[in-house]
Amino acid sequence: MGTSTAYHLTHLGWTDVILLEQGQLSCGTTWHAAGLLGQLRATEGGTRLVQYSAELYSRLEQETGLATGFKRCGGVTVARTEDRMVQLRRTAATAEVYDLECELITPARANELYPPLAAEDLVGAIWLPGDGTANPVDVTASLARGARSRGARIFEHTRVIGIEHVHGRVTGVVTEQGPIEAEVVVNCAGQWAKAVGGLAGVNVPLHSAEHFYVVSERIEGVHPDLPILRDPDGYTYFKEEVGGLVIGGFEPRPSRGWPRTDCPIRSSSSSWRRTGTTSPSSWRVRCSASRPSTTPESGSSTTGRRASRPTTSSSWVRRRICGASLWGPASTPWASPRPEERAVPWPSGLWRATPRPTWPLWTSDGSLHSTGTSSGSATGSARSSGCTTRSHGPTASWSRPAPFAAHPSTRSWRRPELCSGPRWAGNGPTSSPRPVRNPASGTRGTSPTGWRGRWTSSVGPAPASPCSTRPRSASS
Amino acid sequence: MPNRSSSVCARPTWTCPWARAVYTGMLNERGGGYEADVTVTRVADDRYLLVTGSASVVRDRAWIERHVREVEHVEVVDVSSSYAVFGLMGPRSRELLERRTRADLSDRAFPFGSSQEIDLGHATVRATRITYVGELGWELYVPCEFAVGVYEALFEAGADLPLTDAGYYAINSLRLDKGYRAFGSDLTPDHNPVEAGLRFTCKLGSDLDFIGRRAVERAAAEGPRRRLVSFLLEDPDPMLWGGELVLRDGAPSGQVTSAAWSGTLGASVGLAYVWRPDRELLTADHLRSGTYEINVGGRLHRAGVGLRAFFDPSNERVRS
Repeated sequence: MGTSTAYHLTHLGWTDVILLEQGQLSCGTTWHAAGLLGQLRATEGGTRLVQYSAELYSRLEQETGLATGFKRCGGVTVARTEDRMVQLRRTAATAEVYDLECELITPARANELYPPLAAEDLVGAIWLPGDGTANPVDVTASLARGARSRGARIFEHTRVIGIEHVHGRVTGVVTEQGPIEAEVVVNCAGQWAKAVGGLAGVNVPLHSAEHFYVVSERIEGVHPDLPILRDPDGYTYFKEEVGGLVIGGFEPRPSRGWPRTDCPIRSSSSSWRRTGTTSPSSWRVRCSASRPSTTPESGSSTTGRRASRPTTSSSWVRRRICGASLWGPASTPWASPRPEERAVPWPSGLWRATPRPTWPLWTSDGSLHSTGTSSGSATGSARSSGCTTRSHGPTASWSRPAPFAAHPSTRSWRRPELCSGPRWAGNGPTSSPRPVRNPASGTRGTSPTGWRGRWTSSVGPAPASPCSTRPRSASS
Repeated sequence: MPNRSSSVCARPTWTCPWARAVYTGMLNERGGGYEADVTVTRVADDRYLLVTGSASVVRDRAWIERHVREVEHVEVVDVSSSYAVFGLMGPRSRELLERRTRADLSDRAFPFGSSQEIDLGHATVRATRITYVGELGWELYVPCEFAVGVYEALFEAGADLPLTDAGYYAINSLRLDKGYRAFGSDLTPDHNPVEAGLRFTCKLGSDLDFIGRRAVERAAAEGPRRRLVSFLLEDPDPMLWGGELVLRDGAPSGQVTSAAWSGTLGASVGLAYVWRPDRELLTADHLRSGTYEINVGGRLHRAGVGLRAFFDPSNERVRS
């Protein structure tokens, strides 16, 4: 984020740009990011932003001489259940809204695109040919060189210990090595952004959570152009790396928030074992050399393949890695002034440079979040549960932007009897509660009869007619 | 906001008579898009009550504070935690409220869009005759310490009436029957009042110099390239959530922004932005002439589309 900001500011003509890094570039959460560039997001703005990233990473080497590792390898997302297929069909329809290539495919076709896939119990999949991957550390280095070549100065091992401000307007930062005057300060501190914001009395409700992945030994059929594989029912994603796979998990119930913010790297097999949902036995890949060559027919369901799936005690896992992953209340990236900042008109950030958001990225507006919102370690677990579920759960990519969902921590007095009705999780049910027509009633379409019993028991006695106060009016 | 040079709101809120709730937006300069969708009530010579969505309070406050200059002596106070709000809605809401107040609630004394302080049980509350569900009704702003008492007084008084609590899914369904917009899904900083069908909330006819005025004038002169429409599915079964693809004569031409199953209309109802695949100007004739379908989880369902609400488009129930 820091190098990208510096890179873009210099490209917009800013000449006096300084980037401060407390450790080394990319030592925070970047080293540990998967580097997936999934184009289809919940909003058109998010989609266009990832498309821009892909375009930037594909041309950055020409400009800076440093490769980004960008590959447009495509992405396969598989469904294990019919409910998940409903989501993927919705996802495919959303792609059409944004004019993005996305194809609904059979398990056999998914197997063709992704030879190591264990496709026998899959219901279907989607194919997103525009998806790609990049190496986050290489991207950072390339952006840094691009920024430097246009005059930005980058100081590593320079920790910020204070932010100076007068009447709500930033005047500079204080580092361990001394003060620096600045008209604009952009807080790109990632998992330390909350602490840095705190230096200026600005609330940044972000927190880190544990995120795991493993790196496998070489696997037959895995080649550098292998697509990204996403298995939302298994809460896992798969990405090629030196002939093996990086296998990462987003658990439905993450274990806990990141305990310490001064320690960027941790690798622990005991933490790994806690995350049952991403245990190797649930992975939908084959890792032995027993696979026959790929033909269109070979992907169809055949017996005996299951044996070659990884086991829990799999010996082909080369490394287990646990690092910090950054989450906010709405699981969207943020780029905006914080609401506490009074200075007019635009006190900080990228947007002053442009000088206004020129893209529909308003769900990244941090001021959507209350100054009272916390995202500290105490709430980390519950909150990141919502976030990871939103990223990988059933409603991901077609659910509406999250900022408008009722805030879980601002719940007020509730009548207990109201809680007995249809309980829908914050992200919506796993399957649409489609109204079921009641064959006995004969009144087709006057009410969603499948719900009626539950609604009425929870909100009071059943009225004689569910729509008595609202006569059915003429429709279109 | 007595700011003669450049108003934050797109409608003059200081020239309105006292105790009138004005529905308006706060727009940006970029494209006249919505930064906030609010109701402004002038409660005293120099005091206004702004009501916004509970998710937007911090954002709206920051927007206002960043756009007032120091010489304008404007103080914004967040009173959200001080008030409980009850929306007492329905054809018999007047009958119920009259049992617990001495105030004259007749249409002549308390017309739609007006706001008064009234006695209610043991409390004095601000009652605003406005609705988000399309019925006769009042929003009651009750100081928090009186909230439980007022709530119980209303239910005691309405024991013989079909009075019930309603949750947000019910409200969402009812507001979509009426085509009422919601900030965040239907109105965003990327959608201007011309596209949203809310030109009436901007006083372009006056000389009010509000933020975003030039952008709205441009958009109004040019005409919209996308337009928010109400839709109603023909098939009563499908359940929509928002985000679905809209097709016109088989071609991708829009996206649903809000949807709910309507108990009133007997099928899913909602709002969607529609556009032409070639992104040319959208005319009412073009809108009316096509056959519309909505892709719900891979299945296409025919939908009726209109610029007006499907339920009570002439607002008779609201003004009764």
